[in-house]
Amino acid sequence: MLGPGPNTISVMGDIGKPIRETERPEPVRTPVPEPEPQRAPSPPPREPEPLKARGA
Amino acid sequence: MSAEPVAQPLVGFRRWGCKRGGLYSGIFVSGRFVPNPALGMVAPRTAQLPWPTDHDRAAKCFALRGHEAPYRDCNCGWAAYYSLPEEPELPAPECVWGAVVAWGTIVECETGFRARFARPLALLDRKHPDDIREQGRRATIAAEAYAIPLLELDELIAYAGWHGEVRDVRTPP
Repeated sequence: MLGPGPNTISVMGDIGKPIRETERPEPVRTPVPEPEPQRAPSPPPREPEPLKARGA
Repeated sequence: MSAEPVAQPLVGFRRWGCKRGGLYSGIFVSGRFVPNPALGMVAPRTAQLPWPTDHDRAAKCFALRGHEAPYRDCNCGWAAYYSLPEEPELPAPECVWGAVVAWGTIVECETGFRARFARPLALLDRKHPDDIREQGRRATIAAEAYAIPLLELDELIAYAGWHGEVRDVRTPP
């Protein structure tokens, strides 16, 4: 949804009257997953060797 | 009012003005983002700083007779709503919504809170159609800068719930 029309003021701090004051602990930081090690590119599929012409 | 100890951090939802990957506090006036007008009035030459990407910063009060933020009878502190609107409005092309986790002293109000510390958790994957300057990639660029995920609305709410208490209070439209 886009915002209201022109000549409007939108303020983030409009959150009503205070109800209570709390003291809360710091969250544990979520560990950032390590990127997967890059695998060496697999070699291209080998073409089948041409059959050797049998000698006459 | 003495602060009541609570065992969990508090989770909320808010919007920022987003520029070049930085998330800025401020207001939206007539479809344009105005960063932190309180700081602009007190110290007009001070550079506006985005929310830090690599450390936590305590909220400050920019009132002339300042106090430690958040203060009950002021509007200072990192603010957020308890819940995300079903259709989060985008009042300007710079607007980006996301989830935050908050801790330390928190003034809990009717529909949201103001905290001494807060950190972005994830951003909402939504873009303003008139975002010509950053081609609708603001949230994506900011998510990369803050090393946080870019999520759809339902996923954002669920993800936030993993990081602290989510209060079930309706946010005003």
